[in-house]
Amino acid sequence: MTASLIDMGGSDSFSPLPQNTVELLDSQIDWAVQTVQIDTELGHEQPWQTFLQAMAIAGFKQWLEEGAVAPPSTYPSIEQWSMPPGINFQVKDYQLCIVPMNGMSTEMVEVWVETSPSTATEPSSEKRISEEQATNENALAHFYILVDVQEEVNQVCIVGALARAQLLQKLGSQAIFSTSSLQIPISYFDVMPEQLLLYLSCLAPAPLTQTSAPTSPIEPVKAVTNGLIKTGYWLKNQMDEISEQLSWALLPPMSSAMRPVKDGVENVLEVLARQGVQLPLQAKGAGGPISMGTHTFLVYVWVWSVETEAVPEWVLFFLLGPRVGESLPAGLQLQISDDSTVLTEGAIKQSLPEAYLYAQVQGELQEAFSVCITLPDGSTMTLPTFTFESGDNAVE
Amino acid sequence: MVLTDRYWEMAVLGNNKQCPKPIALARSWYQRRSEAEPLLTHEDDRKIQDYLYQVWRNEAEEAHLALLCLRCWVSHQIVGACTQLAEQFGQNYGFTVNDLCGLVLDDDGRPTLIYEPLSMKILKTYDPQQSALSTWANRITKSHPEINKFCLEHGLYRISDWALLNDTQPSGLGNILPMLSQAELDRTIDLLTSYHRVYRRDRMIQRQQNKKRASRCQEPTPAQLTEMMPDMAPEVVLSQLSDLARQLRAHRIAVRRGMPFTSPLDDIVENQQYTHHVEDDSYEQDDFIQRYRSLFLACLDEAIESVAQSYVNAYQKRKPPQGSLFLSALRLFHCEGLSMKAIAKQLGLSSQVQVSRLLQLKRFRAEVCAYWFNQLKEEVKTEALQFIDPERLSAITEQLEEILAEETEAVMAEAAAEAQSSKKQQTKSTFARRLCRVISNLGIPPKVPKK
Repeated sequence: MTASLIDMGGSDSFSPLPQNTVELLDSQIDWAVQTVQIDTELGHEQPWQTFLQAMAIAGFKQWLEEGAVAPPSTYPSIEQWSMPPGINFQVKDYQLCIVPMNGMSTEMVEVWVETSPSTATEPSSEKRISEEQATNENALAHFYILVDVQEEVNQVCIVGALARAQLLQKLGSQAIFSTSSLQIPISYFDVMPEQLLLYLSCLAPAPLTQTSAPTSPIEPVKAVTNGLIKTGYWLKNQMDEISEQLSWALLPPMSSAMRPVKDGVENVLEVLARQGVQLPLQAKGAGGPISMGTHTFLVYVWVWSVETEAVPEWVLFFLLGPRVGESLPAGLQLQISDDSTVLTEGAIKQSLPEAYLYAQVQGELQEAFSVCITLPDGSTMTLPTFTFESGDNAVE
Repeated sequence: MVLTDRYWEMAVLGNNKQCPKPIALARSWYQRRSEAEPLLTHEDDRKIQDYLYQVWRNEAEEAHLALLCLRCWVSHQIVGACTQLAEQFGQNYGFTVNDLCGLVLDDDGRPTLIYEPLSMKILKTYDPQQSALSTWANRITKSHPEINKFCLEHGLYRISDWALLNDTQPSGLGNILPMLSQAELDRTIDLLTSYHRVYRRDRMIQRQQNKKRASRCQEPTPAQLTEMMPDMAPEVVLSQLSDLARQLRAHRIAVRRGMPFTSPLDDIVENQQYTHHVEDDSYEQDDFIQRYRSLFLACLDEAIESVAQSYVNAYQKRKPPQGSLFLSALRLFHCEGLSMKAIAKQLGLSSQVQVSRLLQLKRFRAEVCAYWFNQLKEEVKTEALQFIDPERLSAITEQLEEILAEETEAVMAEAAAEAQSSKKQQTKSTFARRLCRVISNLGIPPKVPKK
């Protein structure tokens, strides 16, 4: 009876301040405020974002220094920031990117995956960019560090970190073409702050080589629509010429055992498996980004051979997916044809992160298939024709 | 049947706790009125409140009496909101329902008011079209500045509506509010963008003028509201913003639920975690650990002592200095084996959360491991440790942690331990045993030491 008199709603809007929360010192807040002033004088027009960024940086430094073994750290002055920032903190030889998450109102944050010199330089800025700074701008972060800024109460909380190598692994082939910023789920930041402290205190950073991270920004992929994609090469673990022109890469081999750390391909396979689509272990694939208008999609193509009534045939499985954090637009269409008729087609009805567009066709070894993608606005693109050729065993 | 006495008994503060106080005037009026209006005795609360609200708003002569009854009822809701908070957090964060009531239960039941108590504020801003009075009272109580200030001091943060709006990207609204039509979404994005333009700018100005601390975000002024949406009445803009904030808050609660880093209580322990055995026979120790195990143990004392002394020094620099407080907590926890709750009591801290914050167990141990590891790197002078990858470091430090948690040494040294102490033999981890051995070497620095 009494319970009905009390409204039970919503007391959990109070949330405990997590460990690793620091209250900024006056001097740190001063620095953040001054940083905004300088930034405004430099002609930048996002003082709020700059302020949160500065609070996050100052808070991280303070957090580091609160411990017993604070490793030496520095951060660049505002003049050396690039917006959005690539590297904005340094601990010993570690280059860090502090990513402010103001609040937790979304599950995604934006990180600057690749730094491209052309975007980092403000043409209007009269400041000369020193050689050292240019190097910095080309450098990559060893760790991305997620910091929750509670501006209202002058507090920041160190949430977690993400090593670049792990980021690339999680992004899979998507990382290959990311020339700028990317929305990634905050659940990626799964290195606990204490663990980060250990890395920073005890280890020297591993060099970020080309193999672990392509440092040169990839040009937006040119629309290659002519020629033949010779998928037979993929079965020999080789790329064919047209796939290379498309900046695609071979996909990792199919494996019955899923690794604990999933990259983009495995996520796709997992979603497919949930929908009852299982690709055979001998399937080989290649894929990469394609751009259409303002959209960029990820293409995954797998091929394998089968025998139907003793006749050798091949199967083409074509899948279009979104980049991490994005969804395919509703109305996007996919069509696969042979030289005369449309064999299969499909469209995205509702834009959801795990809604992929895929189709499978099968034909004799010498048969070729063409794939056509149609955007919601009606514009279309036809990819180079897919064949099963492999160069050495030319089909009669 | 409803508890109608809540309409003539007011929850008031007496002897620092809340207790019911019969308000004779309210009672006689309510009873007289219910003779003519059976709804007041038989119907549900919502209808009674609607009735009283109408009387208050429309009947000049008896308005103040209907209001008095509503004030009585609202006072119980305020207590209810405080009770909820205390039940959810009070034990861990060290406060009681009466601590909270003391901040907000400020109506004394006088028919003529010389100041505006919270109950009055709730009723004045209440709109029966928008919500139930209970919901409204709960919401206003929990957003009360004094409650928020008190809770923040005790380690609980409730973001204000205005900071919450500041903190939300217009581009994210589509995901947060998927039920809106495109036109509604566009309008909402427009509203939030206008809010940001004005409110963030003014907040930056406020920061620049104060040069540092900003206070909690306040409700936008009429001038700010007009600047945001010149074509709309300020109170309409305010109510739309409040409504948006309410939805954002609900979304945020849903998103935060289940995030690992929002559970800060994992460090509050009953002081048994250091004696548990790592159940592990599946993987081999890193060969490095095996080779240098004895060296590890030899270096451990120095690592613990050095890190602990740095913590003492750092705490001593705080205002007020907390070096000896930290040292006492460290001793009580590791050497005496007290729980955090018991330590809080003994050291005069308000809650076990404060003890947990003071000890920073996880970070402390991580730093011991870091110091230890670096020291070994020096000692061993082997290439092996110079270029290892993060995975291997994790593996090594995990095993260091295991060594810290081991009890084997305690068994070996049992005789010695018993000779030292006449108390009942406690099983202690290596970490705790070593720490207790060096703790007497630690001192409070007389002055602020220069690093």
